[in-house]
Amino acid sequence: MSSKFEIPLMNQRALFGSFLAAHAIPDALDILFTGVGCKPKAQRQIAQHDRFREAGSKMVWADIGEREAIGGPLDRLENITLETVSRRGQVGIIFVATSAAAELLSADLRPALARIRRRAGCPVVLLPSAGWDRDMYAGYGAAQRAVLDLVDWKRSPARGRSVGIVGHWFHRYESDQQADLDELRRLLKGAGAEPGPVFFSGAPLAKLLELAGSAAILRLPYLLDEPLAAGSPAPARAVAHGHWGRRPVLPTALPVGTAHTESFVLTAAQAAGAGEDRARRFVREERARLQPVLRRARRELAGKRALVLADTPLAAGLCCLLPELGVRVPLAVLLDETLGGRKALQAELRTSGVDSPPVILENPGYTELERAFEMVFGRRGGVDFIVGPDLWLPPRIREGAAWMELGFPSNRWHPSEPAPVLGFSGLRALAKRLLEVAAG
Amino acid sequence: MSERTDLSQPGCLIEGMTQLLSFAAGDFAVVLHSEPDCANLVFRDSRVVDPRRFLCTNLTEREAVAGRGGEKLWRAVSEARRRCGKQGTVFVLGGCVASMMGEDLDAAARRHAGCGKLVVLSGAAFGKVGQAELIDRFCELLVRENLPNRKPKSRARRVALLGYPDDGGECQRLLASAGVELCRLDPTSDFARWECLRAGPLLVVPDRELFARTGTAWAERGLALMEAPLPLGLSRSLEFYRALGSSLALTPRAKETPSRDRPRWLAWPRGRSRQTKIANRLREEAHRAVRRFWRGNARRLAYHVGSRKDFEAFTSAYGGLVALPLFLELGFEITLFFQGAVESERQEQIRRLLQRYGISRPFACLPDRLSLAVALKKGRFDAVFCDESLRDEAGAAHTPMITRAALHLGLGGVAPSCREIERAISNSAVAFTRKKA
Repeated sequence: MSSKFEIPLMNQRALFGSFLAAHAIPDALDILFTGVGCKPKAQRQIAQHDRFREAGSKMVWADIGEREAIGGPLDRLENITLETVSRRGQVGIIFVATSAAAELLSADLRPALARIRRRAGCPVVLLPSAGWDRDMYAGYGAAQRAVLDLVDWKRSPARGRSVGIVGHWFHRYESDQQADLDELRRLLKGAGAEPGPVFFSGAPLAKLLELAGSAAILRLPYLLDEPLAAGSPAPARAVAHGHWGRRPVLPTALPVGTAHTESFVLTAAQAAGAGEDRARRFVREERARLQPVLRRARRELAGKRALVLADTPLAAGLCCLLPELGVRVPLAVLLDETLGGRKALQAELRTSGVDSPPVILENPGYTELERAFEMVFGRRGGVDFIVGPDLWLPPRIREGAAWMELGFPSNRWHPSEPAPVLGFSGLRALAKRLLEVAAG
Repeated sequence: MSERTDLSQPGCLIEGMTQLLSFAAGDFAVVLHSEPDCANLVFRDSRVVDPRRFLCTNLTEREAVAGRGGEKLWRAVSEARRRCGKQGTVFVLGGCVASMMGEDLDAAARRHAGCGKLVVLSGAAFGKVGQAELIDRFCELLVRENLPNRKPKSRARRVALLGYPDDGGECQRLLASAGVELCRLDPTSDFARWECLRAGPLLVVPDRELFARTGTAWAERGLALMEAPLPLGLSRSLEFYRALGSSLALTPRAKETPSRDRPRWLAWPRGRSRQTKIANRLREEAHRAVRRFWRGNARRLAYHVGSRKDFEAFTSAYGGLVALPLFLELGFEITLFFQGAVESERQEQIRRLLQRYGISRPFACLPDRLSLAVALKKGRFDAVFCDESLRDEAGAAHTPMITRAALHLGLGGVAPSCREIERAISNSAVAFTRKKA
């Protein structure tokens, strides 16, 4: 049976990615230059996922109906945007996202956006989304680039050891994400750096623009190399050349699992110009502190098998972390289409000295997933854990498996206490969670 | 679009249909003829029945510009047919891009030989569809599919309730005591469930205008259709049972004068049967709950309409004013807020609608959700009845929020509703902040 028409497991596109970015900046607005049906492609997707902060007010629909589509939609876009801005008062930045159908109208939005920018007094960024082919990570990355374009790179960087982070995937305001940010800051301090702004982290625009004061920048893998923003591609080029202004930009793996976290800490120490000895000491101490948890996890989870569903960077981290806990990963399902895929995962794991999962799928449809599952686990075999977001899975796969919800969307998991995924604290928290789900 | 549909949040055809079909069980498959992003409207988390039933033609920019999507659609329909079997229904839903391409979807989809049951629905590009209109269209489809071949000879002893949320089985129990069979339907019911209509039951809807097309399809065959209010609150529950009782010719077993508060068929004397006891107990409890409800200076309630988009009859019936009678009988002083366009044309429309329902309450139109917080602060309300998603706005105005989850249906639901409304209002955290503010 062909699966060419099947909807892939993760189908959120760039339109949603840019909305998620707006959600991650409290004073941002996301104007949808789309049909009415596109509204749920944005806000509804995180209605269950983020119980802490409602996202509905981030989104403004430009009210493009049949009449406007024929008679010229730009006046409507301008009026609605300006009305909204005047009603809401302080707006830091406006994203304007377009849908595939809106793009077919071939309306030149730039003059209207320039007028809005002048009258609203804040940056207005066009994020041509198009639901044609780009995934949500690309949309989120495009929004990051657009905001990076606003940073005053001509400003002299601070003299201290301040290190900013870009390319972080912040998707909700709940305690798991807050704990991740705390852990990133803790790791930076452990490496001898002063934590700078994190793109994105739930901080308002003004706070993000303070990135210009950072002496160095760490780039996490959710910011892609290629330029995507509609505006100037200067920072994109700078990423490729390793510098923004006079600040070094160092790519680093997502700190999930001890190997990746260690590499993150050492890169941070290098970025801050702090001594490697201090960073190594910090890592040693943290590793020692983790030993009791790791020993217990290995004892209780040894030989268990997990199905990992995650985007490439997180999957790379989990494929390192789970074996540390004694859990094997025979099948990894990558949920992104633009973060490197199978090749990037394999390369990352090779660098970390970890075996790649025997089967890796790239955002498959259900038929492909079921076929691979059967191939890996046999007709009657099953999996002990599913580690991944709240996605519908065929009964054959989910039956008998303990599910540890992780990533976007997590509709059923809303931790009441800090539950990080990143860093050493993340390893401890994930080990604890796995032991809990294994115990039923 | 009728007046009522304008008051609810509009959506597009794909959005509404995918929402309804994501939660429905049955032998069907759905083909979205659109760009991949529209497939994002299909629910694919753990709550849904089976997203494998949804396919998407994934139109590309090149295909859209060249107007070449027919071939792809035909192949997707063939695959959908394989998935749902010969007896199943294949839905084809056209999106904005497909509409802009101007293809004849029906012809393209039917190229597949032996296409079986095929339903092709396509909206205009950037077209808006009211929630009520879409619910009605969808129910009409299912009703037409299940019309009885001939009119039942005997007087109906079967009732089909269409669009009524669950009341915890109360209606079923009470009707069973009178020997009446009940079937409950809503747009997300299993397709097989709709087959109960083949027996020609009395079809009962909460709002005749909401189900205008469905009702017409049913009545065209000379089948019985009745409107009975949604049993929310004491008066509406009694009215609901009174309407059912009179339509089904249910009479009391002993002489007792029916009063406004005692519908005829619920007016059975005490102790005749277990069901009678249940009915009497429910009614008395409901009476007591309403009488007991706080009666001091009238509490001020903001009633918010128009932020919810769930394609449910509960949200769309009576222009979203379905819970109003309950709050009125509890003695609230109500101000209505309608989210949406603030133009005078719409205000006039709302005025006419309220007039039609005999409601004389002050109202205001709010352009967006954030305006609700401002209106609440200004009005200093004791509570706001609104959608759960407006918690930030209600919180910003320090106004306790009553959501739909607090409302229970049926006579047995009156007391729990009163309790939960009371609890929501006296929510200590909000009340404290409010006092401080």
